[in-house]
Amino acid sequence: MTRALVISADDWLRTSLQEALRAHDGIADTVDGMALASAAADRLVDYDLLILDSTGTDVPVGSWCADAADRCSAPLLVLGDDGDAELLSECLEAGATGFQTKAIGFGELTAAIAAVQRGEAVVPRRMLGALLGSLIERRRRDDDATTRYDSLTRREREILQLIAHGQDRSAIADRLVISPETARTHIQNVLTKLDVHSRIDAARFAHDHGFADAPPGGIS
Amino acid sequence: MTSLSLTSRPLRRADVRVHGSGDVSAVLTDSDGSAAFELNDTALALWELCDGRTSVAEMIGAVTMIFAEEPASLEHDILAALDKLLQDGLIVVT
Repeated sequence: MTRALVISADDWLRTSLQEALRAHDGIADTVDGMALASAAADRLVDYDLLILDSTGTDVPVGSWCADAADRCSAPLLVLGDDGDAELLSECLEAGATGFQTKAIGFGELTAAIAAVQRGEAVVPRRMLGALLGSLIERRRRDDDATTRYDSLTRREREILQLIAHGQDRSAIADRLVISPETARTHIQNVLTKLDVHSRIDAARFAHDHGFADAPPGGIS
Repeated sequence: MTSLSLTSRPLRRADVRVHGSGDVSAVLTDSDGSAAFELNDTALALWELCDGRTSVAEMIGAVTMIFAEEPASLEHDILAALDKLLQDGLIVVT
């Protein structure tokens, strides 16, 4: 018997999926919206299947998928708006098993659920080309970011981490036991090498690409 | 005819039109309608990626990320599908 967790702000969807799963020898708990799902995150390990409706929520869906994938091994089907290839690629990269639009018939939806339970990747066929294009673009952006990060010296990477954690010039100087003028030079070099215009942009770059807490080792 | 490699960046022919996609496949035709080609979902997706700057290696990487199959098998299948598009004149490799 499958034990599923359905997370959606849509009453009709929650009830319908609960009925459908019951008809296929399963049981489903439902959660109204993702804020409650976050509260229930520790219980994800209790489920064999997760179904997440990404519409109508302010919670970052990709981050939620990544967290869920870390916490449990249950297949995860994300439901979203038709044509949102960026969200689709974000979810799949974060560990979702499949993605289906809500603009489909119930038969297709139950077929998608069955497919992810078999471990198959589910992608709306009309979105496959856009998905592949989006994945390639994301990979290119990551590669470009890595190239720029690799151009930093070890000290500049330390500076970037401190910027990413909100440290200003004098705090950076104190922390690294250097003069404020030297700190300013390092900061300017970081901005130039990363091709960003401000410390805020540099901090965003570090957080977006996972460099905010990366070991600063490597080339120097 | 130029052959495909992992570094090739194929370009779809500008005068080819997609005539809607049905349940199984899409039909592509020449601008004058003199030739028609039926493509399955994956072949259509690959054709859509042929923008002249996306490499075959990038296509394989993206497909592998989605379908988590054996990369060598996927590489063979994707190269075969692209080669068929090339033979049919739906893409060019410069």
